[in-house]
This record gives sequence, structure tokens and C-alpha cells, in this order.
Amino acid sequence: MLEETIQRTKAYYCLECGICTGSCPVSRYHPDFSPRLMVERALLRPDGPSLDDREVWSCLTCGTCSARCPSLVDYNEFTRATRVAARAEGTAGIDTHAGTMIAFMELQTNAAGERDLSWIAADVRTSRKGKVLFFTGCLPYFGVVFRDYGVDTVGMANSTIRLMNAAGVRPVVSCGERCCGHDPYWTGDARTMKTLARRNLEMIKESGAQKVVFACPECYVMFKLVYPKYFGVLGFDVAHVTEFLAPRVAAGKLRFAEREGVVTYHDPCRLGRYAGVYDEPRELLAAVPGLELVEMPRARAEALCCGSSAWVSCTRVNKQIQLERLAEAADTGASTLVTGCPKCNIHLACAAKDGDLEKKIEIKFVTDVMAEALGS
Amino acid sequence: MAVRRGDPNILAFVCSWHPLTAADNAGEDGCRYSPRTTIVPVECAGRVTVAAILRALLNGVDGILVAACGRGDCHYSNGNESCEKVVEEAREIMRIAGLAPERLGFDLSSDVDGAHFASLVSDFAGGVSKLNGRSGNARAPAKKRRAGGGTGGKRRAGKRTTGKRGKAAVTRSGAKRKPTAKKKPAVKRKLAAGKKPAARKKPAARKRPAARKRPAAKKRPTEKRRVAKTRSKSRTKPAAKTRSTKRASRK
Amino acid sequence: MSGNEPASSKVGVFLCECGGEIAGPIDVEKLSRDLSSGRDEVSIHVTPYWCSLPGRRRLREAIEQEGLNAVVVAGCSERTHGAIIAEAAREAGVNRNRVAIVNLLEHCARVHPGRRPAATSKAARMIRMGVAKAGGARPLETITEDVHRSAVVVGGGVAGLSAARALAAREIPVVLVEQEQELGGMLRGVYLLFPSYGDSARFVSEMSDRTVTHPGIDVRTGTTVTAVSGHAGAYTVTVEAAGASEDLSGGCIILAAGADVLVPEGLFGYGVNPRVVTQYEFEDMLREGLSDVRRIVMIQCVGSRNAERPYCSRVCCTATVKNTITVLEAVAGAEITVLTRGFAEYVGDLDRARESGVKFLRYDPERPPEVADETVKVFDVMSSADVAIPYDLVVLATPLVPRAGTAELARTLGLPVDDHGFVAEPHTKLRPSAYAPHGVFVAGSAHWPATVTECQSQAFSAASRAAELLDRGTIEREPMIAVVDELTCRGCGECVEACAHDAPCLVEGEDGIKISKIDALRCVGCGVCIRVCPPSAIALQHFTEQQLLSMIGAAAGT
Repeated sequence: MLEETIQRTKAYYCLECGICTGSCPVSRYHPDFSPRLMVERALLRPDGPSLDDREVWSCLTCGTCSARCPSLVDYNEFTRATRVAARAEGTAGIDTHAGTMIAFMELQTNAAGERDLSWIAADVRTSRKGKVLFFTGCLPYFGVVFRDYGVDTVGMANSTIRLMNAAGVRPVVSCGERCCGHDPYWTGDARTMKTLARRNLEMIKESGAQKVVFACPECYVMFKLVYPKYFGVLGFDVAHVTEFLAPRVAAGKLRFAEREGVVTYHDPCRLGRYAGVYDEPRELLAAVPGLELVEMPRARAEALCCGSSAWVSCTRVNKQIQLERLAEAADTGASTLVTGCPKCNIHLACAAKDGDLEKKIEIKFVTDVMAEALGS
Repeated sequence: MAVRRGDPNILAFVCSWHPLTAADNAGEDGCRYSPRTTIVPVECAGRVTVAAILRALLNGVDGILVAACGRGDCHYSNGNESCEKVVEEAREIMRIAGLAPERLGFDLSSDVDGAHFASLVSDFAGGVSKLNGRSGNARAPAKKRRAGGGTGGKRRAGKRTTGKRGKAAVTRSGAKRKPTAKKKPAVKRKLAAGKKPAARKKPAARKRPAARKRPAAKKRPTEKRRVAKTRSKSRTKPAAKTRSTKRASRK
Repeated sequence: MSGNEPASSKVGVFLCECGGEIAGPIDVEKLSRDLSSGRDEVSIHVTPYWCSLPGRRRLREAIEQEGLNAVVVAGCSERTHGAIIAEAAREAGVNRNRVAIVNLLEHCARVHPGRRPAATSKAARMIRMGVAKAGGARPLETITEDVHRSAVVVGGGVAGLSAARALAAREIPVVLVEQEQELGGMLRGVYLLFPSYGDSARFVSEMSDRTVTHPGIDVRTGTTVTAVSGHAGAYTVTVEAAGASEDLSGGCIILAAGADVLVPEGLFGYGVNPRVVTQYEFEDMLREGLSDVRRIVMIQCVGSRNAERPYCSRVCCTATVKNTITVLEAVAGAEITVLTRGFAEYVGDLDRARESGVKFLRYDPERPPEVADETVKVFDVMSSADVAIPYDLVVLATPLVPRAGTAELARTLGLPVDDHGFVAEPHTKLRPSAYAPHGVFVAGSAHWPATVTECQSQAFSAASRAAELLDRGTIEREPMIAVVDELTCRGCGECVEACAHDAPCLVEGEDGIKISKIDALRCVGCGVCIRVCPPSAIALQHFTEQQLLSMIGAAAGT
């Protein structure tokens, strides 16, 4: 099986140049880990890589190494396939938050019923039927777990719909929605992902929506890149909320009031390197009069990962990456770090919560910033 | 499998201090509850995680009951209160997932009376079978329901029946218990006072003499005398009568 | 990581018939057939009694013959039979942590009579749960640490003094810390003792002298405790005296911090009417000799057994009755009326007081007595009549209340505190004078209002428990504790917040990120830290999440 993975991910082409290790945020703090080392172990060991190695779970799948690899080795896919194999051997990474996250995601495969939608704010307009569907993802669930982290993910979902309303769209929000399966997928559990995906696709088909809008880039790339691999052409368009809004803002459909302040934008791995969406969030921020956008040294395709992924193996190494990113953001002089991903927001807020940072910086999700600026 | 239809599949996380003592006493006192209720003993209720609760649901159980010691009685100071937070969090997650939060029961009690435990699990099972009787679990308020809910609802509807049987499950042990106790008073290791509701709060130390060591101790006083009897009885009429006979554990 | 299980688990299931107690309601034959076929890779053994001597011999033989490394005994309660079974398994080389006891008797056989097939299938689920637990467990060794053979006694009242002297008598070095300048605590304000009617002052001074002059007791008066760290066998108690701070070390701590008497501001004219005093103040008046006081009205339960303080303070009624007798002997023609709400506790010498002419009237808390200028007006419940009693002095029996700071100190020590602020004893009946932190013992009124005799006996009990621990030389602890995966810990401090026993503490790691270290002897293994650890770096080594989850799978029958 790994033989096939090595072929598929072009791991054979590794030139041992070391660019991946140099790019890897994990390797910087954790010398035991390197993308190349993972591949080499797989290539050189006659019995394949050692699957009970905890480093199997250390990779962030941020894609920085793959983006720079001269041989175009797909390290992310390599990591994922290794995890599938590891899981088959009965080993697993350390699920964070005592396993709550993965548990509620798996719960949605068969046990869950119709999703509760009472989180939708009173002023927010949604429809039963329509061409546009807003895929909420895990935001209501995260609201329960991260209440004490100063991260309001339910608010993020509401601000997203609020912006869509302002653009004249009343999206469908479905109680038949399930987790997108991103995290099970990236922790090597494709079966759970497929079960969830099937239910989601069925739900969207029933709703008749032609465009699905996402606040979470992870859900977005699942629909955009992964679901088609398993289920073929989906039959509807997908867009991240920033992609959905940017042309409407440009067309003058949304107006923003003056806001003082300097912000910097953090490119999420999924939205940036995976989906190639770099400009739209910046266009949105630029549309707020008075708001100044400054860039971090590592932005766009070079952006440093928020330091954690798929609720697995989020260790002190990850914390150091997060603190590095927060320091980089604070050094720009910005007062607010805007993320394009609710999960980046959670991860960075978690590190900031107890990180004894020299310079504090506020962390906000892009739709929260935009919805607050909505005005005449 | 000769499981009675309608008995919900219940998993009970039971703290090894007061609640498990009550569960042991339920056996000692001849109380009854549904055999579809399985006890998972945990050292302290504080050990139960949200993931454990959700995984149990994922494994197809109909209801989960968490039994912790009463407020102020946690052997470890705050295990029961910590558990309360876990239960709240799990219930919120269940609510979002469209699972009735009533499927997760929580009891904070230091009552070590067997009847307390039996009625606790039976009452809970009764509530859960009512939920099973409903069509589906969806709790999304109708007003808020949006389109595309086709995949929700009807969770393993085939397995569910109405709550008819639930009533039978709520076999209050009281009625059964009395004659049992009368016939063979020696069976009861507990003090008579333990039966009075007023004296329930901290009844006699029937068991659990030491914390972790759990010494073999407490040889039952009536052991030898009863061996022969138990044996002959158990051979002839196993199910019905041996229950009231003193169990013979010899060394 | 999940790789906690030993490379290969060989689990033996030992099914107990318990005579016919289990074998009746449960179809043991079918059960063992079900378990030995198919997916359960276990060996099954059945016998009437595994707890019996021949049963345990067979258990050992089976373990040795089959090379088992985990054992599940499906019989009765772990708390009654766990230890002997574990001992038998240990003799045959199976680690304690890899022995699981499944209570088929009380959790299945006896509660499901007449439902044999269902009970049998439940028994199979229970046993599979035991297999998951024992088979997934790591072998663990007992934790051993040296004990510092000394004790710190906090409080120099009768309980503290008694405990200190009892320990010193066993040649255990003691440091006694008292916040007041003088020893004796509450007894310093008492005139005569019950039941001896001996002079309290003499009793206190004799006791203090013997303590102060004892070579084995280091008495520190005017000293307060500011912090406590360490664990059973090696505590560090930080104290402060005259602005200077000092660390005292002790293998155990006896908390005898006492209680305060409630000052009933605003009740029954106290603080306004100079002829209204508390029973505790009255003791002083008795010592000095009463003058111009002949008619006394005493009111019981002042400020207790009400919504704010629902408890009975226990010692006040005896004190009142003792004082009525003291008055009657000192003042000729004294007239004493005691207004009670009924006696909730044993009251010594009540009959003697009655025979000596003390009147006891019962008042209704809904219609409390009223202290007027010349008389106390009260509705006498027994005669259903309003009565006015002329008085020279009104004496109020007020309850003992927890001393300020005791609750905080208790929490520092990891002791539970009850709703009123007294130190709670977790298992008054199941495990008297045992507390979850192994090296802390409580005596006297810090725990609950106590008489002198009770203080002394609690002190002796605490001292003997402490001596038992200290004389062992080493402290052994079953390895049921939480452990931190140091490569994973993010040093966020959530565990420190959650732990009631101060087991984890944060230290700076080499990489500049803090790291949580758990003190093995402070940790009680409850697992509340598991829930709060964001990266799931903490695990209970004796009962991992994997074990729990596979038990759940087994219990749910999947």
C-alpha cells in the first residue's frame, strides 16, 4: 500500500536537497521531524516506515514543503497515506481536547439527528430553499468547546450570514448538514470522511442549492478538492465566503463604515496554499475605509501555518510555531491579526491565552471584522 | 438474543465510591432493573470525558447515565463537579447534533441504598424509552428547521419501539425487596436503619472499608453455616430461590 | 500515543459460579461458549468459587500453565474480593494493574433474576469490558518514597496540644504552630470543664506547660501558616512570625485550627443591652464571680439551626447546662430559665439541672423570645402561653463557626470544605479520619464543633494515623496517578487550575515553554485534569482513555 503511496506522491523523486526541512515549521523546533526524513524512512526501510512513530502525527500538512519542493513531492498526501496505514495498524496520534473533537465529528456519521439551528441570531435571515447554501461546518460545536478561549465561533457563522444578507442573499442553512470530514480525513480515517461526505452531498442535492459558501476553508477545500476525487463532479459551485463577497463588494453591493486601525492578514494553509485564495480576503479588508492592511514578512504562499491541524498532536512544538506567528504579526505594528479560517483563529487564540506574549495582538476572523464594519 | 423489545440500551458510568456501593447494594438487596443497562465502573466520575460519552452514543447506546457522588462528598474533592461540566458540555454537543440531551442522565447522590440505584437506572431507562418511542431524535425546533433535513431523523427507527416496555423496566424494588429481606434477614448486611429514608444520607458502612486497598476483609458472618444450603438449593432451583439465599463465598 | 498495551495480551477469564448464585440466573455454560468462540481471544476457566483456597490455587496454576499476563475474574465485588484475587494473581506473576474484577453477582445475576438469556448476554458484555480493561492495562509498579519522620501541628488548642503530645510520646519530632501568643485556644475563655467541673485554666496551663517543656515539641506561638507544599511524607509548611517567614518540614500535617464563637451582633439586644452576653462571655463572668445577678435567662440556638447556619453546634447545650449548675452552686437563690428549641444532641447533667430547679421552656423559632427592658417575653410551646420572665442577665448560646482562613488553609491542603466552611471528612462512616491527601489529618472543631473529650479523642486518632504513616519509614503509593507526556505538554496550566490537590505545577522547560510536572504523591488519580488538558498530554497511567473507550465499545456490545 505504501509502495503505491510513494509512487503517487512522487516520493521517489526526492533529491535530498533539504529544502523541505528548511521550510518546515515543525522541523525548526523539533529536529526529530523532517518531511524528507519521513519519506526517507519509508524508502529505506525494507518493512516500510515505522507506523508507531509519533512523528507520523507531527506533520501539520501545511503544504509549505510541497510548495517549495523542486521535485514536486506531495508530502501532505504522503503524510495522510501514512496515517491511513498507521491507523490500519491500530496506532493513532494524540487527539487533542481529550478526543472531544474527533468524537463529535464521528458522531455525525450515524448517531446524530437533525442539527440544531437555534444558534442562528435573530437578526440574521436564512431561507428554506434557495440557490445559495451556507455550509456552517463545526462552528456551532466549537462554540461549546472554546467558550473559555475568547473565541466565538457561533458569532463567526452569524457574521458570515449577516454579510451575505447585506449582499442581498438569504442563504439556506440546513439541519441535515454534517461535519465535512476534513479532520478525520487528514488523520487517516477516510471511511468516516466518505460517510459524512455522502450525507452532505445528499443534503445539498435535496436543497437544490447551486452554490455552497463556506466560512471555514477546511470545509471549502474538502468540497473543492477532496470530494470530487471520491465522488466525481459535484454539480454545484463552491466558494469561500471571501470569494463570494469580494466581487459583490467590488460591485458596490456592500458598504462599510469608516474604521480606524491597522490589521494584518494571516493566510490559512487551506485557503492559501491549497485553494489559492490570497487576494479576496485582502480586497475585502481594503474595502473598509480607514482600515490599513500591513503584511507580515511571511504572507501569501510563504505564510507560516497557525501551528495545528486536525485536532491531533498539538504539542509544545506547535505552541512555539504559534507564538512565532503571533510575534511576527505583532511586529508589523498591527493591532489585529485577521484570519481567513476559524480554526487558525482558535489555534492562535489558544497559544495567546497562556503564551506570556511580549506584545499582545487581537485575533479576529475575517467576517467578524467585515460585519462589524458594515454600515451606511 | 432474548432481549425484550423496548428495553433501551443504557450505559451507566458509575463512580466507584457512593454510586457503585449503591449498585452493589442493589444486588445485595435483590433490587431489579433492566439487563440492557450495563455498568461501566470508573474510579471517579471526574474521569468521564465528553469523548467517552459521545463514543458511547456512536456505539449505538440509547442512553448514558453518569452517577457521581453527592455534592461535597467527592472522595477526590471536585471530581463530581468536574463531571457536571463534562455532562453539560456533552449535552450541548448532543443538542447541536440533534440528539436529545435527555439521553444523557446525570445523578449527584451519596445515597448508597440499593433501591436508590435501581430506581435511578429504571427511571432513566423509562425516560429514554419514551424518547425511543418518538419518531426520530431530532430536536431542532420546528420553527428553525431549514431545508434539506432529509438525512436526519429516523435514527435506526427499526430498532425502536414505543415506550411500552419502559414501564416494566421501572420495577421498583421496594415491593420485591421486603419479603426477601424478611425471609432471610441474615442476607442483609446493612443495618436496618439504612432502609429508612431519613437515615439514608450516610448509612452504615456496609462495604468499602478502605480506599484503594480494598482489603479482602469482611468475610461474611454467615458464610460457613450457609454453604450447604446454598449448594443444594442452587442445584435444584437455580434462578428463583438462590437469590434470597446467602451467597457462600468461602476462603 | 496509544501503544500502551503490551506486545501481546494473554488474557484469562475466570468465571465464578458463586455456588449457584451466578450460575443460576446466568447461563454460565453458554457464556463460556460464547466467550471462547470467535473474536474473544481469551481462555475461559469456570469454578464454583475463585475466592476459595482451592479456587485461588487453580487460578495461579492456570496463569502459570498458560502464561497469562492479564486476568479477569468475573465474580463479585472488587471491594470485597479484589485484594485476595489480585494477590493470588500477583503470586503467579500478573501485575496488579492487569487484573480486572467484574461484578457479575451484584451487577447482573442478582438484579436480573428470571431473565436468563438477557442476563447471560449482559454478562458477556461485562466480561468483554473486563478483558478490554485488563488486557489494555500497563503493568505498573508501586511508587515508594522516603518519609520525613516529623509532624507539623497547626493549632495550639486542646486538639493540637493533645495531638502534639501524643506524637511526641512516640518520639516523633513535632512543630506546633499557634497563631495566638498563648496556647490553649478556646479553652482559655472557659471557666469550668464538663463533666469534671474542673478548672479549665489549670487544665490549660498544665497542658501548655507540659507541651512547651517537652523536648520533642517545638512550640511556635504568634505564628501563622502562609503556604503548604509537598506531599505525604515530605511537606513544607511556610510560616510567618513577626514578619519573618520560615519553612518547616514535616512528613505529615495535623490540622487542628479550631473554630470561633459566633458574636451575635444585633440578636436579642446583644451589643445594645449591656445585660445581654454570650455563653462564652458568661464563662468569664463566672470565673470572676457574679454580683447582682440572680435571675438569668439563657437562650439556646442563637444564630444557629436557621437558614444561614442550619447546623447544630452540638457543644452549646452542654455548656449551658454546665453553667446553670455552676451558677446554682455559686449564687444562693438563683433563678435560671433556659429557653430551648429542643435538644438536638446529648446534653450532660440535664437531669441534675432540672432537679436543681432550672426551668426549661421550649420556644418556637417562628416566634422567638423577645428581650425587653425588664423581662424576656416568650411563647412557651409546651403550655401554649405567652410568658414574661424578669431577668438580671440574658445569656445567649451561640454556635461555633469556622475560623476565618481555615477553609482557605484546608483547600491549600487539598481537603474538602463543607457548605458551612468546616473541613469535611469525606467518609465519616466508610473511612473515618481518612482524607484524600494521605499525610493530612484533622482534629477538633476545625472539622466540626467538638467537645473537649471529642477534641482529645480525634487528636489521638489523628496522631495514631500520622504515626502509622511516619513510622513506616517509606511511603508506598499504588501507581494510580496521572502522568504528563512531557513532549506534548504545552504548559498552559489548565491542570494546575483544575486540580484540587495541587499535584501539578508548572516549571520552565528547556525550550522556554512551561511544562507541567505532577507530584506522584500528591496526585490522587481522580482524572479531572484529563478533561481540561487541551493537547491531551495527561493520562491516567492506570486507566487510559484507550482502555475506557474499548470498555465502552465492549459494554455497548459492538
